[in-house]
Amino acid sequence: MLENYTIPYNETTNQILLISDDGVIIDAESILFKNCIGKSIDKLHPFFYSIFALLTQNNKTFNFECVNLDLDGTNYTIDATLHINNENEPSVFVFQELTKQYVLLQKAAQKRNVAEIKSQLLSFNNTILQEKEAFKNTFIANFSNEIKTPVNTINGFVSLLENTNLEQSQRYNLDVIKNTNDKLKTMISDIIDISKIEADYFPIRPIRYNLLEELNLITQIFTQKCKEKGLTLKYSIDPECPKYVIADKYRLAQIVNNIIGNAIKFTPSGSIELTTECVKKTEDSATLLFKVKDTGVGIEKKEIDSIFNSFHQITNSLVNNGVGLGLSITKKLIHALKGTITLKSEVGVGSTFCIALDFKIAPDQKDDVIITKTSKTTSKNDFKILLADPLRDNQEKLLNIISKLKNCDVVVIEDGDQVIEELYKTTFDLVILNLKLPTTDGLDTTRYIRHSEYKDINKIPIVVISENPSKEEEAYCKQRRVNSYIGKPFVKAEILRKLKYIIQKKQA
Amino acid sequence: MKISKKIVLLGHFGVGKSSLIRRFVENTFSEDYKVTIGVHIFKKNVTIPEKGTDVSLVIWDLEGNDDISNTRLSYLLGTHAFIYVYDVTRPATYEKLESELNFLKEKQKNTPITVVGNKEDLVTKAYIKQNSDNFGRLTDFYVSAKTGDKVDFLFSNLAESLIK
Repeated sequence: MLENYTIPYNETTNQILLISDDGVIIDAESILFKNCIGKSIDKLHPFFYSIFALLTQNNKTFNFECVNLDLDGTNYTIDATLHINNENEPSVFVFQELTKQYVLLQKAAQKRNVAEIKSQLLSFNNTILQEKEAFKNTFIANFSNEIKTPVNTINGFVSLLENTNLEQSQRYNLDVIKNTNDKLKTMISDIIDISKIEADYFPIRPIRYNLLEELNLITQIFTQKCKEKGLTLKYSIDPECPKYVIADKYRLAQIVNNIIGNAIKFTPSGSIELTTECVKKTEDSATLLFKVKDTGVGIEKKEIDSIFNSFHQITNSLVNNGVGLGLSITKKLIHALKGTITLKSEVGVGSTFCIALDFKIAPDQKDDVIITKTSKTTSKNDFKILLADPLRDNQEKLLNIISKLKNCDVVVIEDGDQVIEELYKTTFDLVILNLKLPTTDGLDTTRYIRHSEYKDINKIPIVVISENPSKEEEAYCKQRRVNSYIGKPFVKAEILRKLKYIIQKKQA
Repeated sequence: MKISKKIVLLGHFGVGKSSLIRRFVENTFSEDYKVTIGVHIFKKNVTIPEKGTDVSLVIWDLEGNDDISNTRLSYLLGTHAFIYVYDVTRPATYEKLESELNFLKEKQKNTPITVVGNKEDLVTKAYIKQNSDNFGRLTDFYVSAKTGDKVDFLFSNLAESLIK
């Protein structure tokens, strides 16, 4: 084994050059550097150019390891040692040719460097891709938000027109505008959702709510839509399902709406069935299985895997409605909620979507109290407040506080888009917004209000509610022209003081 | 009158030092990466028309090192100018740019250093602008050994500055 190492060394070639102070070769064998006696060293190779300056020093030694020299068309790798002696003594340049040894080193370095460069480039390419993706998502989200504002404005004006005296044909035309605008609004919301999900900015906001009531509401809406298309909607719920849960109400509704809406779209005749089954239940949690079965056109096996991809449209589908984001969003939403979705389908028979989701059971199952107005009678002089908060608990507490103020009329709504529509319908004196409003959040709604040119909407005082208050957030809200900032937990006296100040200022 | 100047190219491995020299000396480029072990030395004459002078550039192509303090110091003896090369697509090659330059300034006082970002053909101008805080303020030239962009200018500009 030792010979593997010794043989290459035994095969090395050595050469010594004796050099004068002015760089002329005094004596040498003709081994690496052939017939070089009497020549200046810089004529041998460019390597020697910088040696000149060193020759002026006395009693010094310099080592040059691993120098590659191309001599007469052959590459040599050498270690060189230059001994500079006293004046009048020639300098000695010793060369040891170690090409074979360095080739081994070169191979090892090549392998190591190639692997390292590959890994660094992979990481760089990933970063670039992520940056591009983030830019795309931010761009789409911002752009879609910009489009959402005029779409909501159209909805507001449509609501205004609906309450006027219209001829039948005008009402029909208005319905067409409304339906088209609603479709556009859904598409924009889908695009915003998908870009938020892909940008990993998709907060889940659990609230306590009546699940059974919510499912009833959804089925009521879809029963009407099914009737319009000549379909029947069957609905059953397992009595084991908890009535009150803590979950993201809006996202669950979005999931069920997307799946049932899709079933209606692809079912020309027959029925759609929604069953809700409690498959697992403990003291504080339950796993529910939502099954949506239709007698629709069905999906070919080869399409089943890709149906959840963004912008997917079923091949040869007679229905071309939307941008193909609904099922992609649904699947991503379900994953975000740590649930699962499966699909069984047969062409010409129908499809069955099964969604399993975990729910926290709400401990307090008291009945909901729906309050929308605090004053017993409504007069023109009432101070009209629009309260937008998705949390029932917040609504109740704030209504309780507002009830201490005289002559206030409060309208309670739960999402940002509704705020904009309400502002077109009615003149309000104050808007209270939760920053975490669904659909359009509190700050975007504020931005919309402040930029509105309709009547005096932009002058309405705005109070925002923060679930996680901070000084930085308060300062930011003030910059966005929010009049007052309320943080949780609610302090009754502080809220009353702030509201009274706004009311007095407004009335003055 | 012919003047010779020693120029040393340093930087991490794989940043394209050898490719820049090959582009300048032979006007060729290869996509294949071949690691440099030790040092290769090249020579090329550059004419400075304004001065009526030929400058013989003796260019030392040092092996790439991810830590400049591991450089064999004997290679640096008698250097007239350094070209420090990094790869604009690999942050590891410019992350310690400032300290690497300080090391050189300490070892070879008063020797000018030209900082070069190679492989500019692989990125956009916007990317370079975005990274101005990372490498922009220390970089003298963005070049591409592959396309040859600004390679001749880099060496001839350096040659001219060395004979002023």
